[in-house]
Amino acid sequence: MTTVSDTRDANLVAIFNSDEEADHPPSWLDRIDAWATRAGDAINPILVKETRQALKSRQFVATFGLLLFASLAWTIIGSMLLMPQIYYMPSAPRLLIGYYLVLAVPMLLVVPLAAYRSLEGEVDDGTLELLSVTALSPRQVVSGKLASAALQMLLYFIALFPCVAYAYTLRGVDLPTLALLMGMLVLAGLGLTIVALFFAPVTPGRTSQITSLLAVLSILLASEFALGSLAIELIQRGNPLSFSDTLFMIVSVLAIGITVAAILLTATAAKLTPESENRSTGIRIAVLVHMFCVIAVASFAVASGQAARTNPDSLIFIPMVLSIYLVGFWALVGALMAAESPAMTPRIRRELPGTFLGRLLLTWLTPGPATGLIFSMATFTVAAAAAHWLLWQLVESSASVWIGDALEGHRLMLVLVGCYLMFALVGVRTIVGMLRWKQPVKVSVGIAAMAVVLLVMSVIPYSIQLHWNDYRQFEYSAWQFTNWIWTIERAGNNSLDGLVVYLVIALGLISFLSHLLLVGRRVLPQRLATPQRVQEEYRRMAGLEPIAEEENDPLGLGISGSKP
Amino acid sequence: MITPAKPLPAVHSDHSVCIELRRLHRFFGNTKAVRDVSFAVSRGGVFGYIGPNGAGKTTSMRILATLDLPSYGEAFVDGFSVINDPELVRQRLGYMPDAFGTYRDVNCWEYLDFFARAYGLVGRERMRRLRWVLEFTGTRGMAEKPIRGLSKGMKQRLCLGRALIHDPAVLILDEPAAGLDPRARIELRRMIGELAGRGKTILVSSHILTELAEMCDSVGIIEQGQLLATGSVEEIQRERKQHRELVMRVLSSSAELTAELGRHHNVSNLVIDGQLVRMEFAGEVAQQAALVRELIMAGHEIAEVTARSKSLEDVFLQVTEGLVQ
Repeated sequence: MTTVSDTRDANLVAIFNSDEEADHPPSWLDRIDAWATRAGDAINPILVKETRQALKSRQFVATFGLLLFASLAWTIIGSMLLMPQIYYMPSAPRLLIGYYLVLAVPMLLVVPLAAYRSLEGEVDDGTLELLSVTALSPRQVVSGKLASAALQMLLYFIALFPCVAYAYTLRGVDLPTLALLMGMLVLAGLGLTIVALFFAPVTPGRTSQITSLLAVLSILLASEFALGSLAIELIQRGNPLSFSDTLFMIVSVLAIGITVAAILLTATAAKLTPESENRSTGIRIAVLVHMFCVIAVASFAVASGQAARTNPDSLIFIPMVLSIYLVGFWALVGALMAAESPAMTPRIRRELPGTFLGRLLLTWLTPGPATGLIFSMATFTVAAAAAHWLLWQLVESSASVWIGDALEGHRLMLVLVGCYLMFALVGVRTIVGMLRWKQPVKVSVGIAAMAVVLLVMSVIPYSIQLHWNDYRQFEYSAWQFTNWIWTIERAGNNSLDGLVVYLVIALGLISFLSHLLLVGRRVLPQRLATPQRVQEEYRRMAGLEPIAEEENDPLGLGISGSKP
Repeated sequence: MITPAKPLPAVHSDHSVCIELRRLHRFFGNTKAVRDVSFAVSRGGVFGYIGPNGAGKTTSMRILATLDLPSYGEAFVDGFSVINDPELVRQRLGYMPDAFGTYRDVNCWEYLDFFARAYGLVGRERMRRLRWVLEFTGTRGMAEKPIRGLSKGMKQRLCLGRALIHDPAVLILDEPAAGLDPRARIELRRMIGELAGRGKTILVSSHILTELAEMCDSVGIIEQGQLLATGSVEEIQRERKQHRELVMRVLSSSAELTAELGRHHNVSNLVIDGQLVRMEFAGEVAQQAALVRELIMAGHEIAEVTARSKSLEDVFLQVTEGLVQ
């Protein structure tokens, strides 16, 4: 009698013995099998594992079952409710709203949350450490989680596709709008998964877990609501934009979205990377690409507006929004970079640029607070100059007087903000450096340090002068030049004294020059040579050097050498 | 035939020292978890790392496994720095932490298959390694069983299998016998012995000292982050000038013998129990022989002499002070 365990054993024997050499030429089925195995080997192991886990998990089965049930129920109920108009009136929008809501819950809520839990679970269960000692890179771990989430979304999407097709046949929504809606849903799902992964804590601790879970839940629910409103509007009213505007919007959203996703994914991978390795250069490159995309999109928007002979005054918001974005972005990213650890392991120093030109251009991409600070300020300056150039282009083509004043104000504002940012970043670096003397400090402390510096810059001079004036109201004076809130407000009102401008510029310049003095050593040749044995090993790994037979089969399993 | 996408790196080299810690320090704030620890384990050696809870064993092992960085000092696996070349170290290293680290909703075969993939094993080679590991750890019959339902002993076997899946040259086993029943412990000891016989270099920590004494070539005793002693049990005894217990069965009058032994500078803690004379002897084996000869020449009728070396447990208790950080 054959038992279940016998069958299992037989399966296993079949699996184990499947590698035995066949005594007949391979059939087309064998070839397909071999191809499938090769393809399977090329897939990210995390994706394989997560898919195996997901397909067996109760969460997936329940979600998938509920999705099928809800879509079927809505198909029946929705169709019944639309009777008899369904035969002679366009009825797709109403049904489609229901299908969107059914699909949006797993796509925008369940899958991102599952991805978050999955990465958090790796930390909680101690498996992240086991992954860390394998050949998998942190980037592969993160991309594997994302790919697994994408696969689940695809399954949900496919499951609901017949319903969407049914709704389309009822007329009332055109195909481009439908494609836009579904594309938006998929991209939003992927984006939210990336955000959820970014927030997944990489250190065990109840407080950080609860805080990050609440943050992720808030983001997911807010996005679900916002996207839901947008989708319903889109279904009911159609796409209000012209074809070219829609195309521009899609390209812009894709370009900016992909670069932001790249920053978040690189940062998530960096959180999983050991301290001894370079965790910063990848993020800096991603940030540079993002900056390039943002400026390119803004430039294209201004250029296309000018080409369409749109009133330049109505386009002024583009460089203005860009400038505000740049200030916020670089205050945040700069604070994180200024809080990086200055310790450079020999491993990182091996990767430093070796040539004069390389040192000149690429040193700022190497990790460390000193280079981070210069990188932040240099990129901010270039991006701010680009925003100002865009505004200047609009002024050139405008006949309005006020837009000329806006150009002056914009320039002054950028100079002031740049100087304050420089001073604040030097302050962040100093504070974090002092904290690091006592104990290791996370880069996220940089954000707190930035908040402290900005607060101190404005509150201290204000408090002193308030005390000096016996707590009575007082007028702005040059003593308040570090008070960035008041100074910028005065600059906005065009009532700032020239002396204050010079003082703020001096503050920024002194900060910059004093920082440069500290950075000087960085541009000297510091690169370390890679030991010959390590070089040989890497060459061997890359398959450039042959491997001895006994090295390849140390257990004597009879594995034939796999030399190329 | 499916061949690996890229050749496997060499996981064994001719480096004679496979594990080396050089003046390793690890501080967590004011806590000095590891202080100036240095030792080396030669290729094929089994090194027992013993110490009370919180002594710094796991911290040093985690540094060796590239999971943590030292505050000062260096650590090498097969000649590669754990700080500067962690990926080269990882290829040579199998790490088994004290926690199981298993996944939900996967069976044993899927679990091992995942880690085989994670180590870059492909095609037939992966299948061969999986087969070997399942056979070696005795989990072949459990291959399709979910991990959740496994006993602690079977989970431990599976985790050993995971550490072995890429055929590492060096194994770091953190408390592998903790919580296992006697049979499972014996099985584990057998497996470690077999792996050592295959030329693996093994660093193993355990609280079960009798088992460590049987399987280890040398031991390191750590307490409060400091390595107090290192070497074989005999070497540590010798270094510490530890006494051996000598028991003599004397047929003649033991009172005269006692007086004579009392004058001997190597003898201490003399106890007479009928015909049996127990003492602590501080000298070498040659000096012990000279003492026996001397007593016989003096006319004492010595029927039997038994020398008992101290066990690892005795050495551990003598070396450590039972302090916890």
